[in-house]
Amino acid sequence: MAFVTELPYRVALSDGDVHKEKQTWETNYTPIYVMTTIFAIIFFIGPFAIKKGENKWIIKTCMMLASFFLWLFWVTVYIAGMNPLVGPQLRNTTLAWMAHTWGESALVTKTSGDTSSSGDTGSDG
Amino acid sequence: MGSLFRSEEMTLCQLFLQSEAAYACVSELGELGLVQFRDLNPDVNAFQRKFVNEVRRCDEMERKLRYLEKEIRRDGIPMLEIPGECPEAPQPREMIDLEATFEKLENELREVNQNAEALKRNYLELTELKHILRKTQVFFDEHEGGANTTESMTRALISDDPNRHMGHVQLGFVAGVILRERIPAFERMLWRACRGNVFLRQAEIDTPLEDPSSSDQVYKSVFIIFFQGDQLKTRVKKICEGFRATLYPCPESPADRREMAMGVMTRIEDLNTVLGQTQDHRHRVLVAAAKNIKNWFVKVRKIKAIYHTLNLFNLDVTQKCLIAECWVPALDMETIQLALRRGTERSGSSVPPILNRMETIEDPPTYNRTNKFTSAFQHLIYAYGVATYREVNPAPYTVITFPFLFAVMFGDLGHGAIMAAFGFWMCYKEKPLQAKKIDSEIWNIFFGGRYIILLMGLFSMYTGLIYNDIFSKSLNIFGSSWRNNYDGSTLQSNQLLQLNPDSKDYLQYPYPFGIDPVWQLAEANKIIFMNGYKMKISIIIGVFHMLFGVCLSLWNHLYFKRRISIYVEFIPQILFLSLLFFYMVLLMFIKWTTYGATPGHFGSQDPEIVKTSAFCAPSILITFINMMLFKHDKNTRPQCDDFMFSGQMFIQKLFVIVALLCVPIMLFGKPYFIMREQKQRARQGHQPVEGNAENGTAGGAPVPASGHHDEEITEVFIHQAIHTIEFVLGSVSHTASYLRLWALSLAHAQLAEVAWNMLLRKGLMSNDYQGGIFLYVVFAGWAAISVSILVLMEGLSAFLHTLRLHWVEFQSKFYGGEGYLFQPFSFEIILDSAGQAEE
Repeated sequence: MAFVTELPYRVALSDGDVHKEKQTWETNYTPIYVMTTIFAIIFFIGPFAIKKGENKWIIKTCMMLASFFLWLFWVTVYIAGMNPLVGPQLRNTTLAWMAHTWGESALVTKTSGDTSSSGDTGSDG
Repeated sequence: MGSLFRSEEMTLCQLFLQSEAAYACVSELGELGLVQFRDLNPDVNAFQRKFVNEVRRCDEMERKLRYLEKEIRRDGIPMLEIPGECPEAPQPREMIDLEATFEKLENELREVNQNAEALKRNYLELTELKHILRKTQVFFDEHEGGANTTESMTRALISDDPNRHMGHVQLGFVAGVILRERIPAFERMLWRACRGNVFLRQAEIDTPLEDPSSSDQVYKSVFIIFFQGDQLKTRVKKICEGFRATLYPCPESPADRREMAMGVMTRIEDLNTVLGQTQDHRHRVLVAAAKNIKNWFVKVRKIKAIYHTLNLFNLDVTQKCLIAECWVPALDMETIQLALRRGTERSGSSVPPILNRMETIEDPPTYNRTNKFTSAFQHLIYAYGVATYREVNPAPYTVITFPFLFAVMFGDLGHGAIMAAFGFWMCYKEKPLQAKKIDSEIWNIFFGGRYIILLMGLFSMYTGLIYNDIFSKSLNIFGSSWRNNYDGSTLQSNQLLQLNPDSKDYLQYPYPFGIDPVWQLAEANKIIFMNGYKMKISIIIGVFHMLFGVCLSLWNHLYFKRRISIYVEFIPQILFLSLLFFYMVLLMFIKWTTYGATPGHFGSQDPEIVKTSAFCAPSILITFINMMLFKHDKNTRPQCDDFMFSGQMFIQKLFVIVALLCVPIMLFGKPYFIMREQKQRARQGHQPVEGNAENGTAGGAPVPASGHHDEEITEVFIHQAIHTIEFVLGSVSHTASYLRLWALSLAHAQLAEVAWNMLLRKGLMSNDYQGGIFLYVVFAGWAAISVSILVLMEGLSAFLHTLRLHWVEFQSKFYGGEGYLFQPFSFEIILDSAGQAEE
């Protein structure tokens, strides 16, 4: 696709799925919508599902509290991970394994003048 | 509303009972367990109360039962547990029957014991005599042997007269038995006192003999003392008496001795038979008693409890009915009326009991109706302080927030699963485990908190999934969002390389559920990343928890009709917390969403893009500090903006000013209003005095109730100052205190990692068959450490910290905790506590 030629260098993705590649350029908000909807259903609609029983009130309170805190915990992790400011520092052996298992062959050569970042990537030993 | 939201409404009631019906009614109320009686005779001595005789009789019965129980336990007979329902308290006339039964049993048992003791003493004497007769045979043989003996002592006692040819001299002797330990001292004493003129021979008895009174097995020795003359005889006898040696008559001639020995043997056999029969009889009596003893204990305790309660009542003028005052939950009036009616019917009385409500200004006790699930959480709250009457109860929220905060500190899928499995087993096997009545206190603590443990385990599994930590390893369910783009040559020349999110290394969308698994592989900077994340989540959770606490205080103000407090306490508190700390939480979210890589423009030097890149991400801590100090530091990096969003400086200044303005409102608002109220009341105070004389106390006028409002105005100021300082300083220190959520979860993760790397890893990396055995052994060690240190110790530690967070950080925002517990007259509670006191 024309999209690929815009890149300053070529990379070999493990599966040449262009659709997936296109997705990597937008922040993906789908998980947030899905999880928030699930927890919102438990929080707002769940209490109405409990109609009888002498422990109605406490069951409703527990549902609402639990759904809120569990959602809060998840959404914080997600948002914290959306735009990470630093990346993991890994050993070369681990990196080679990652390339082998998760894709991105370590043998891909890149043209010079490539991913020089804002200066603090550690290419130091 | 009979729920856990706030404690139940209690009424003070007066109870009029007819004397005949009183016993049965109190018995019914005891079974119900919903009434707390007050002592109407507080200045009456315990020995002057009306039913003191009955209580004494019950005490006597209990003493007899305890004696029976001790004997039953001594024999090791199992006591039958009460099948099914507890027996009801028996009628007063049954008490006499019970007393007679116990009396008979006790007497029988005492008689049997006495007989057994006498028989045993006899047996002991005969046995000792038997031993003496046997051993002294040896002594006399030697003695008569005369020349053959090697004992020089014997020669010395033999007369020097060469004319005497009989080897036999006129020596007297005494024979007896003494404890082995006393022999050396006995010998010395004899030597000193008799100036060496007596001769002692002793031989040990091999088998230990049973002491009849103490039932101990003791070792004794046989001795025989030879002497000449009466004076020595008396002296020897006195010394034997002093050393508690028992003397036995021993015949001189061997024939007599043999006859005596045979007689002794027959008598011993007879005695054995009798002794056996006595023990059998005793056993039978005890077995029969053991069948009913638990039943009897329950009955006697119930009777005693009823009479104790009846002692609290007042006898009215006509001497025909008893008056009681009791606290009763308002919702249970019907049930109590029914119980009273049942009691009157049972006693056959015609006059129905009367239950009257009474008005009072006293503080009623706090009563929360809990079931087996919520009672554990309620106890956690009560351990700190019982809620003030009708105040909002923190317990129902604790059901979820407690396990949740625990889980944030414990977060490990594997350990959480172990804990949840343990909790689940205890809850599933609830009934059989309860029926077992295990004695161990530690087990009872764990079992009492089984629902807490189950919930803690389940929540820990969830947070473990989010932290992506199972026994210190990560799961990769959805595929990591990080890739390696370094080529082979770079990898070969550098040992440590860092991935850059501002590049193709990061797929620009996060791992959908939890922390990315790649971080577990990043030994070098995993902790730095996790620290940043965990500290922020701790503060976020803390701020929400505290805001929730402040909101609960609103319900308290509304219920107790303290409208002023809403304006001068609740609103400033909420403003202060939100404008400062909730704003900090918002800053965190803003930083997370605004700063980062811009997809499609990796590594771009375009100033607009640089402003939102990682290069320009400000530190929230510094921002917050500058906000509080009204400082405006120029950013050291010139490409970056000074602010995170436009208008930030103005908003921050506004927030700080408003928050600071809240402080004097909190400090002076309430005292000012109270002063105004007091002045108004003082002005109107003179008028309603006449009005009251007409109305009497029917209106329940608020004037008497205000007696405790007219405090010194200085006290009000001091009070309010303390509260304000507590809140303002507390908001800072409590927010920081929530960082323990980060600290403990870090400690837990590191401990798990150390356990894995130092133990299990070594086992998993070993080879061949011996590796298999090695792994087997290493796994045992790793599992033991995981359960004992990581689950138990860390679990206890996190439990304690969560408890502190609830008690101090959460409850200080709204909880009064100055009530006293409702302690109903309930047979169940009395029997439980009596059962525990026994053990």
